[in-house]
Amino acid sequence: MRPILKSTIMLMLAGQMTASLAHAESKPELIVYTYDSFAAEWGPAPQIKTAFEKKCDCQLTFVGLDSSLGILARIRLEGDNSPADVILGLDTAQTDIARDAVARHGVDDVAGKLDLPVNLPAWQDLHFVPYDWGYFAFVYDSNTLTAPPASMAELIATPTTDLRIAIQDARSSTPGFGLMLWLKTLYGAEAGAQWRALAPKIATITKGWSESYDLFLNGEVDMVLSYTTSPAYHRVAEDKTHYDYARFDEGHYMQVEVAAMLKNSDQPELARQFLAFLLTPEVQAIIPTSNWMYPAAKNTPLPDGFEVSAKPQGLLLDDALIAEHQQDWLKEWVTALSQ
Amino acid sequence: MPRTLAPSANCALPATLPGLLLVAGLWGFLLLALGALLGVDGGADVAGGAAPIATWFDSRIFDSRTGAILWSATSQALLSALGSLAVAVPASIMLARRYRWFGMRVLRLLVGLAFVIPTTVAASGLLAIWGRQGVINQAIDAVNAVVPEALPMVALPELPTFFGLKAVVLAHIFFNAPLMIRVFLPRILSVPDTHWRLARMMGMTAWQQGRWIEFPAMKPLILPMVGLVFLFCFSSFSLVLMLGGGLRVTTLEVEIYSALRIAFDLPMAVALTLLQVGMALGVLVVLLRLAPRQTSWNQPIMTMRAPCDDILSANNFSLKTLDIFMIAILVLLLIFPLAALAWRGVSGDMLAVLMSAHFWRAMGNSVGIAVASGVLVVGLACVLAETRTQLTLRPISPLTRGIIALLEMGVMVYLVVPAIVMGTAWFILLRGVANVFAVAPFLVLVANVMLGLPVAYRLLIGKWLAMRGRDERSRLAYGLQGWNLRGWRGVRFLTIPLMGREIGLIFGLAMAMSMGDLGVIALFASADFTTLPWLLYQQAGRYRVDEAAVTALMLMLMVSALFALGNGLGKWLARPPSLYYEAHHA
Amino acid sequence: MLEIDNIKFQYPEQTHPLKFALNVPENTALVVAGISGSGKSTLLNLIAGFLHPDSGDIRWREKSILGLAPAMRPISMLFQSDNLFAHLDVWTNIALGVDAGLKIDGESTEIIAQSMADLGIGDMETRPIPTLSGGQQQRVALVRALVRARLHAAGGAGGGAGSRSLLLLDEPFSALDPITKADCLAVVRRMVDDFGITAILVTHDASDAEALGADVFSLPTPC
Repeated sequence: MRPILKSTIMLMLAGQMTASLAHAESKPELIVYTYDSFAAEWGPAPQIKTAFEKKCDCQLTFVGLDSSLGILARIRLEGDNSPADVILGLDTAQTDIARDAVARHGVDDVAGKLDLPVNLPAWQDLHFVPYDWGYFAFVYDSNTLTAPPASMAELIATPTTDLRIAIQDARSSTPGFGLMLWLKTLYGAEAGAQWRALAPKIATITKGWSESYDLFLNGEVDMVLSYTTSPAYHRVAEDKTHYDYARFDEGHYMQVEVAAMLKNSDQPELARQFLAFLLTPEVQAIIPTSNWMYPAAKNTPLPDGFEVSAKPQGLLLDDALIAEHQQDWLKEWVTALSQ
Repeated sequence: MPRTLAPSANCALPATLPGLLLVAGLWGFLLLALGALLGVDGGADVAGGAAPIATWFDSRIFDSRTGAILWSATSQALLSALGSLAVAVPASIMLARRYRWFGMRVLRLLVGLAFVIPTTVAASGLLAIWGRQGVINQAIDAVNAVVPEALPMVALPELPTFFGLKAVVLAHIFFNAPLMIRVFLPRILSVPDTHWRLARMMGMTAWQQGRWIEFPAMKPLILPMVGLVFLFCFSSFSLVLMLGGGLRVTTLEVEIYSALRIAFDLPMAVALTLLQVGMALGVLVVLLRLAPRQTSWNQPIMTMRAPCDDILSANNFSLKTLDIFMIAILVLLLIFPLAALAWRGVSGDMLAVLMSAHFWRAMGNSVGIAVASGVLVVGLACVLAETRTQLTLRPISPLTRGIIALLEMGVMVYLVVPAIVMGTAWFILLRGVANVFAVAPFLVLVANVMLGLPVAYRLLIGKWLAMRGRDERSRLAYGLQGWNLRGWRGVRFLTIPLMGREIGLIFGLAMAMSMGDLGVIALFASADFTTLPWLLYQQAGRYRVDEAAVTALMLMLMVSALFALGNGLGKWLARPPSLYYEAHHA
Repeated sequence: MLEIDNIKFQYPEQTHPLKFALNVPENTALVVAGISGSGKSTLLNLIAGFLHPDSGDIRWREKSILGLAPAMRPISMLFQSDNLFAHLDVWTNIALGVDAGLKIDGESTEIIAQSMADLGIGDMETRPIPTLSGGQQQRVALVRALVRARLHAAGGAGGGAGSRSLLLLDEPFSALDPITKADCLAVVRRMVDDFGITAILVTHDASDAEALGADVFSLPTPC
C-alpha cells in the first residue's frame, strides 16, 4: 500500500513542478489570493481575469481560499515566502492585522473615486484599496413579519416571544464578527449587557452565513443577520420582492472589502496595475450581480431593482482599534452569550 | 512438551509488522502534525504573536469557560450516544424480528442512509419535520384550523422551538442510530435458530427474549459503539452550532477554529486540540474498560441469515403493535427528514444543476475519491484487525496490552482532531515541497480514510477476532504448521468467504462516508478540484438554495448507490469459493 | 399416548406433502429413522408446534395439542447444537427451562439440584457453557428437560399441558464421539425408565435404537 501512495505523491509533485515551470517561461504571473466565492466560476474572478489579461500581457491567477479568514491565515503561515502578489477579500475588520505584510497601493486619489456613505470620513488607508462594500442588516420576509424593529434598540427591547433571529458565530464568520462590532460601536462598554438582552431572541448562532440564511429561507426564524444587498439579490435574480431588510435608525455596521499587494511580491508593477484596475468601471460593473455587494467606485450603474431605497447610515470602526481589542471583545461576546 | 498458544517469533512478526507500522504511522503523523503547528513562529506580520509553550496551561486555556465547554461537549456527546443506543437497540430487535416483512428492505436501506449525508443538510431535513414551519407544526395548525373556536382548550399547542440541546441530541441520533443499527442487526441475525426455538419452547415474552437472546447478542459491541458515537458527537462542530441555539451547547472545535483563524495562536490551537483528544480518549478508555473482555472466538460463528417469522413468535397482537410503533418512530425520526430533503431536491432547480459541468466534475471527483477511500479503508482495516488478532493470540504482557491500546486509540484518535487542524498542519508540512492545491485530492483522500477507518475497524474486529482467532488457535494448538490454507489461499478460501459481507459493508460505508464528508476540502478546494459536499456548501453560500437541494438529493442517491455496490460486493465475496473452475482450466 | 393422526404437511417449495401417522405409548422410547429429506425433523417440529400441519391432528393423552403454543405443549426438545445460551452458566440455563423470567421458588430449586445430581452433573452449577465439552452440554440440556418434566408433573403450571414429559430429540448426539454418545443415550434411557419420560429420538443412524433399547419407526424414502 505504502509504495503506491508514495509514488502517487511523487507523480503529483512532479506534475506540479513541470506545470509551474511552463508558466514561468511564458508570461509573468500575478497570483491573487481571494475567498472561494469570489474566485468561483460564477464569481467576479473569471470576468476580471479575462478583462485584465487583455491589458497586461500577463497571466492572472486567482487562488480561492475558504474564506477571508483563510486568506489571512494563509499569508501568515507563508510569511515572507508567500507566492501571492495580491490579497483580495479582507475587510476593514482585518486590515490592520495584515498591514505589516502589505505594501503601499500607490493608486492615485482612491478617496476621490470612492462612493462610500456620506457620513464616513474620506478613505485614507495607504495600503488597502476598497473594491466593494455592503452593510450588515437583519433581513426579513415582509409576508410574515409586518412590523420589523426600526432600530437596534428596538430589536433588543422586543419581547422574546415576538421575534426569533438567527445570527452567526463571531469566531467563525465575517457577518458574525461584524454584528459584534456593530453593537460595540453603538454601546461601547455596555455591549455585553446589550448582548445579554438580545440573547433570548437568538434562535441559534450558526458557524457560517449559509446555514443561518437557510434557516431563514425555510421559515425557522423571522430575521437573519445578512447584508442589505440580500433583498437586492432576491429582487434582481429571483424577482421576489417580499424580502427586505430592517432599517435601523442608529445606522448599519459596514463591511468594506479591500485588496492590497504583498510587500514581497515579485510583480509589484503588475500588482499596482491590478489594484488600480479594480476601481475602473469595467470591474466595478461586474461586482453588483456577481459578488452581490455595492460597487466601491462612484457612478457605477446598478441593475434595476438593486437599490430601492436610500442607503442607510454607515458605521465603521478604526481597524487598529479592532486589531487591538478583538480578543477582549470576542471574550466579552462569548461570555455574554454563554450565560 | 505441551504446545503453547504462543506463536514463535519468526512466524508472527511478518503478520503483525504492517499493522504495527501503520499504528506507528498514525501516531507519528499526529505528533508530526501538532509539532508542525508548534514549529511555526507565526511570521513577522502577526499582531500579538504566539504565546510561548510554557504558558500553554495558564489561565488562557483553563479558565472557567473551558471547563464549561468541556462539560457541555462531554454531556452532549454522552447524551447523544446513549440516545442513539436507546433507539438502535429496540430498532435492531424489531428489524431482525421483521426481517421478512414487506417493505423492510427499503426501510433498512433508508435507515442506513442517514449516517452519511452532510451534517448541515441533515439538520435542514430535521428542521423540515420538527421546525417551526415543519411538517408537524403544519399538521398541528391544520388540526387547529378545524377545531371550533368555541373550544380553545382542544387546540393543540405548537412544538416548542427546535433549537437547543434536544435538537443537537436528536440530530446526532438521526446520524448515529443508523450506524449502530448497521452493526447490531447482523449480530441478532446470527443468533442460532435453535435459540429462537428454545425461546418459544420456554414461552419467553418479547421482553424476556430481549433479555436472554437479543441483548446478549449485541452486548459485546454496545460499549465500543457508544464510544465511537461519543467521539463523533464530541467533535461535531457545524451541526452543534447550527442547532445549539446559542453558545451554551458548544464544543471545543469552535475555540480551536477561532484560535487558528482569528487569534492565529497556533500553540493555543494545539493545546486545545490536545485537550479535546485527551478528554475524548479518556472517556473512550473508561468505556472500553467497562466493556467485557473479548471472548468471541469461543462462540460459534454463524453466517448471517434471517430467521423466519414463525420461529420468532412474532405473530401475537401486542408484539405487532409494538413493532408498528417502532417502525413509526424510525420513519418519523430517520426517514421523514430524508423524505423532506428528497422532496426539496425533486422540486428544486434540477435542470440548472444537471446541466452544469461543475456539478459533474465535482461528482466525478467525489466518486473517484470515495472508491479509492473505500479500497484503502478496507485494506487498512483488515491489516489492523489481523494485527490485533495476532497480538491477542500472544501471551498477554504489559507490552502487548500497551500496543493493543495504542492500536485501538490510534484508529479512533483522528475522529477528534479537527479537520482545520489537520488541514493547517498539512499545509505547513507541504509548503516548500509541493503546491497544496495540486495534492488536494490526495489530502482529501487521506482525511476521508482517517474518518472511515475507525468505523470500519469497529465493524470488522469482532468477527475477525472470532474467525482468525479460531483458525490461528487451531493451527497453533494442533500444530497444523503445514496447513495449505495460508497466505493468499488462506485469504481466498477462508478470510474472504467468511468476512465477505463485512468487507462489503465497510467498503460501502467508507465510500458513502467519503462522499458525504466536507472535511479538509474547505481548505484545499480550488476551481480545478471540488467535491460534491463542497459544491453544496458553495451553492448554499450564494443564495442558490434550489440548486443546493438538488445537489443534496443527487448526493443522497449516489451514496445509496455506492452503499448498494458495497453490499453487492459483499454478497459476491461471501459466495462459497470453489477450486472447480481453477482445476478445470489448468 | 401420543397420537399422530394422519398429519399432512407440505413445504412451499415441495411438490408432495409429507404424511405421518403413528402412536407412541407413554413412558417408552421410540427411534424415528430415515434418510435426509424424509421429514424426521419436520415430524418433531410439528409435535413441538414450530410447524403447523395442513391437516390431521396430534393428541397427547387424548387431547388435541394442535391449538397450543410450543410453550403450552407437554414437550421439551433438544437440537443438534446450541441448546444452551453460551453467555449464561449451567444453573441459569436449566432454570430458564422452569421460568423464562427466572422466578424460581424453593421447590423448583430443589428439583433442579436433584435432577442435576441424578444425571451426574451435580457440581457444575456455575460453570460457563463454553468450558463444557459437547457431551456435557447436551447433558445439561437433558437435565433441563428432566426438570421441566418433574416440575409440571402435578399438572398445574403447564397451563393445561400437564406434565412436560414428552422429550423430542432432534439428532442431539450425532456429533458426539461414540463413547459419549452411548453415555448420553444411557441417560435418556434412565429418564424413560426412572422418571416417566416419553422420548422420541430422530436419527439417521439405526444403531442408536439398539443402544437406547427402543423400537424403530422408519420413515419412508420420499418420492
